[in-house]
Amino acid sequence: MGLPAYAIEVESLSKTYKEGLIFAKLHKALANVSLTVKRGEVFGLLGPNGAGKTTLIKILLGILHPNVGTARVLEMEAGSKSARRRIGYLPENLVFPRHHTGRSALYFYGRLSEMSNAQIAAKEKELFDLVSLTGREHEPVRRYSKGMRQRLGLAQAMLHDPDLLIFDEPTDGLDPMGRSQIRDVLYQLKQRGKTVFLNSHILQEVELICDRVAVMALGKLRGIGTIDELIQGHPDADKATVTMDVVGSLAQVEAATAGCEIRSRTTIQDSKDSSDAIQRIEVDATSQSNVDQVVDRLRNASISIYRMERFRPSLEQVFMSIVGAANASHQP
Amino acid sequence: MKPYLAVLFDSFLESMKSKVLWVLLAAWTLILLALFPLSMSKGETYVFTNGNFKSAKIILDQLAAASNGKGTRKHKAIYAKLDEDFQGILKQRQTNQRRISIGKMIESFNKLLKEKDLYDAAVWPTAVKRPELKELIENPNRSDLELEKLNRGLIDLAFEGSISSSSGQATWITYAGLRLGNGLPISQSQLRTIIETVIFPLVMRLGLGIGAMLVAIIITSPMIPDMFQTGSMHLLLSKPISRSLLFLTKFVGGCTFVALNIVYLLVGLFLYAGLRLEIWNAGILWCIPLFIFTFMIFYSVSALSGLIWKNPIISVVVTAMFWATCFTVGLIHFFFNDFVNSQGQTQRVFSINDKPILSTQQGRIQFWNEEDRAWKTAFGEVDGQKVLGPIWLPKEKSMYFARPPRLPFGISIGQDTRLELAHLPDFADASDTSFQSKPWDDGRLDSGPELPSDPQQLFAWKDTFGVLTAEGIYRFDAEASVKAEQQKSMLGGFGFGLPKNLIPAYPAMTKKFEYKKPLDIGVAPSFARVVLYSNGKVIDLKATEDGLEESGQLSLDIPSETVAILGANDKTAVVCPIGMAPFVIDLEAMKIQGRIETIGDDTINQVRVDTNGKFVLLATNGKVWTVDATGQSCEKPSIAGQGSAFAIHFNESNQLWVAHARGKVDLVDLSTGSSITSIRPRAFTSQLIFDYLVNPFYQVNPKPSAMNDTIEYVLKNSKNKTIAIDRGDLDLPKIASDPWTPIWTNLLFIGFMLGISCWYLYRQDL
Repeated sequence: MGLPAYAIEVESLSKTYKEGLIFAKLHKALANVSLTVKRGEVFGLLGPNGAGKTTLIKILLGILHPNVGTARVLEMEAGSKSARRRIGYLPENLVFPRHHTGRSALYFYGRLSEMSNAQIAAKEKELFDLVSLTGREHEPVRRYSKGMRQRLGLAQAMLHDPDLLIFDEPTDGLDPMGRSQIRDVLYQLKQRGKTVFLNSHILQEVELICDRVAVMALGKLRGIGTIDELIQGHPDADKATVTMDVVGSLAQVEAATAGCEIRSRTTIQDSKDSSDAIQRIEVDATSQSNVDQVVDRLRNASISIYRMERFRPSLEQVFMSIVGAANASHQP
Repeated sequence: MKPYLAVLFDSFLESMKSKVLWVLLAAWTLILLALFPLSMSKGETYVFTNGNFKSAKIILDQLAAASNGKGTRKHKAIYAKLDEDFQGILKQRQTNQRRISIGKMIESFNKLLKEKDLYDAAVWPTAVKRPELKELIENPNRSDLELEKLNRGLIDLAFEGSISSSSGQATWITYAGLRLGNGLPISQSQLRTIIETVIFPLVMRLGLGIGAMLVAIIITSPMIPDMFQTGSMHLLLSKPISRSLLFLTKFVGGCTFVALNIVYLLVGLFLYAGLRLEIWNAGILWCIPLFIFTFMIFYSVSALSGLIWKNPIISVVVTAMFWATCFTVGLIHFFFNDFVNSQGQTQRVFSINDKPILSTQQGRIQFWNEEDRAWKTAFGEVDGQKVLGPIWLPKEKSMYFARPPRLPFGISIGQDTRLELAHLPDFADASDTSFQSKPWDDGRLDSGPELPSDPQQLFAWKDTFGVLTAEGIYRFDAEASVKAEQQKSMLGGFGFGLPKNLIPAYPAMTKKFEYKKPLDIGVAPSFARVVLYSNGKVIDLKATEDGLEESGQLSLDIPSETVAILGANDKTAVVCPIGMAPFVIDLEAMKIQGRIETIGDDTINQVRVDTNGKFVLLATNGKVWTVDATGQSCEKPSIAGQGSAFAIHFNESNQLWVAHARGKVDLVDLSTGSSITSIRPRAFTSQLIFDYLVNPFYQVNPKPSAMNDTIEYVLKNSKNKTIAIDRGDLDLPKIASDPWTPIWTNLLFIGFMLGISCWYLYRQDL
């Protein structure tokens, strides 16, 4: 029997909160969300604040009970003890009890994960090295910086070698150095083939690490796929261009690119001496052959290509576009 | 199990790393260190205390007369040695009857004890006849204490009858070896009894039960909310552990914190009591689990509030409100119970011509009114006083009783006790029911002569009655009493008190007692003999023409301070020491015939003997026991009121009146167990409110304060289940509730609260 294909399977999940005691208002945190996360995948969950990301994670961990729908983790019912045994979790705004040192906290959470002291001791050094806390493990956690606490949180999540790691905003509030350290750990996990479910609203980070991404807004799943797939779905995806800055007079450039699909030609630096003049041309990149043809012609005309840059919609633009559309559709 | 042990260990670790724990432990250490030098020491003192004066008014009158050159030589000699200030006050009293504080008199008398030349052979010619004084008079090199003893003896002689003589026995409270204040006129063992039965429960109830409990609730209130704060809770819940067990483990962790403190403090108190007071009371150690349990009651409320609101301040407020609610409900129940079930404080039941009469702990005498089906108080209400008697003298158609003011532990207020006479001519005819609807007010009550000093009991004696006092047994002489009152009214105008024996309304039946308190008396129904219990001994007094004469003594080999009551027939006496199996005494051979082990250590507070010599014993737990005339067999008869009886009394036909809860009274035939007469007062609206509203609500309401009863129970060892250092203390109302009931009811409450908490946690989205 092979390993299950999916680490997470969520189907038609809905969750509504009641707010207020007497005049209770209903707040729909999740509405009919379905998604799957493959084993060994680093999966990013994106969304603005209040999108329902943390609610989804809490349902996966059994902290919240869904109103409708099903959620399975590693082919087990989400929230079941057996499922939780195989999950490592780093919560958002992690707070350690003040009486712990880094080491005693690691032992405490290790024991909660049903590990023996010997098992914890065997992994302790490796983990403190991995999260760069070696030498600081005997300090009280109340003296730890936020980055150190997050890294300790990562260590406890990885301690029992879980099959699925769920990280909720792991780099939130960290300085660039701290983020880089966390990112390194995530890369290592990816290399080890662990399934990572990453909830973050720092898009660059997600773009760098995640294999697949889901975007949530207002409790609904608005998009899911690889980053390329999401971009392909962006309205500006067909406006792809390659911008080139070339050395030569405007006349030379026009002559060389005649017959090619050029969207614009602009002089950036004018000079009587053509070797000092710089022109900017925007080449239609919808078709790669057009780009190749322009490059060949320019080189054949001995025109130097000073700079060349391809434009396509960024993940941020895709995200903004999706969220913007969701908000617009929600307007009365 | 591993994860839960981890949470438990973590709670322990958290406690150990908490500054609060160490601050508290330091505070307990300081308290124990401050307490440690406090101890007691045995000694001898003859100084006057408030309780020594039986009649301060007579003494002051006599001294005031002496200031004017009147009165006896002894009074004049004492007046001459008093300090000038007090002499001035006494002179003023002679002219304007000025009131004098008893404190001032005690101060002056105590100065007098140090007077070196108070003794004058001419003034005190009889002093040398007293062996205890003779030796002191003949010793020219008297120590200060011996001088004090001599002077006290002389003053006692001068005011005989108005001052209680001093035994010299005293116990001092000491701090670091220094004596604090005056010595207490009790033995060390009596003081230990008071400490064990009064001080310890008070300290536990107020100090630990309220003070320390409040501190514990405040300190532990953040534990549950802290665990369930967002940042740490979600991580805990992501682990493979059950929410309910996680909560319960954390709950146990909170209790562990408090347990550490309680163990430290109570073990310290146990060692202090043992090492410094010689009270090795294991009950203090038993209080450890009881206090932890009491804390669990409050913590279960605090924990649920912490789960719901996740705020320690709200937890403390809710717990305080819970406490206040329980207290209020308990208070309402207490007052309602007292009001509705006041008959529960019935002290004695009597009958005159088969009409039952009750006397209550509050000093009320009540008659049954058939028309209203209610007990009616007669002869005014003298709240807070116990009743001596009543005794019914059929020839005079009069009922005699007295209501001396009295406090627990044998402390009398020191005022004179006047006999009260109730003329009840209507009682002569049992068919005449007119008296039942008459208002029995003070108008029908006459004031009789003063009783002899320190009266203990009135008892029926042939065609009159006898009075047992601390100094002897006296017989009431009705004719002499009338003469005495007349003479007193003639001479009273001279402004000084009269000696009580001028015309004796109460001729002595015995010599002046050498017997010490605690005292009790048993009179054989044939009046052939009277048996006394005194200070661990049984004394047989045979009736002679002139009175009573001692014919034998028997030591019971029990601590001499033990309070006991007894009953006697012509051949046998049953002596019931408090908290011990009763003794059966063969009076002819004057030896212990055996013990009534069937009764165990139940405290007996009434013994009645029928004309055939059969004994009936009533225990403070409401059980009635019958013992045959020879003391051989003992049974618990199946009769109305069995297990809830407050008072018993034989009528002339040897049928037993049994007064039980709520004024219910039955006349039972002991041979069949059937009720011949049953009196059942009608239920008032207040009773119905109590039965159907207050009491059910109280029963379902948690009762953490009831744990105090359990704590009190474990603190008193079996010998001290009833607090009594005087026979009269046995008449105080007793709480007959089972001390272990609060454990079960509160355990149910804790289980309920924890169940709700677990259910809430299971259902709740966090």
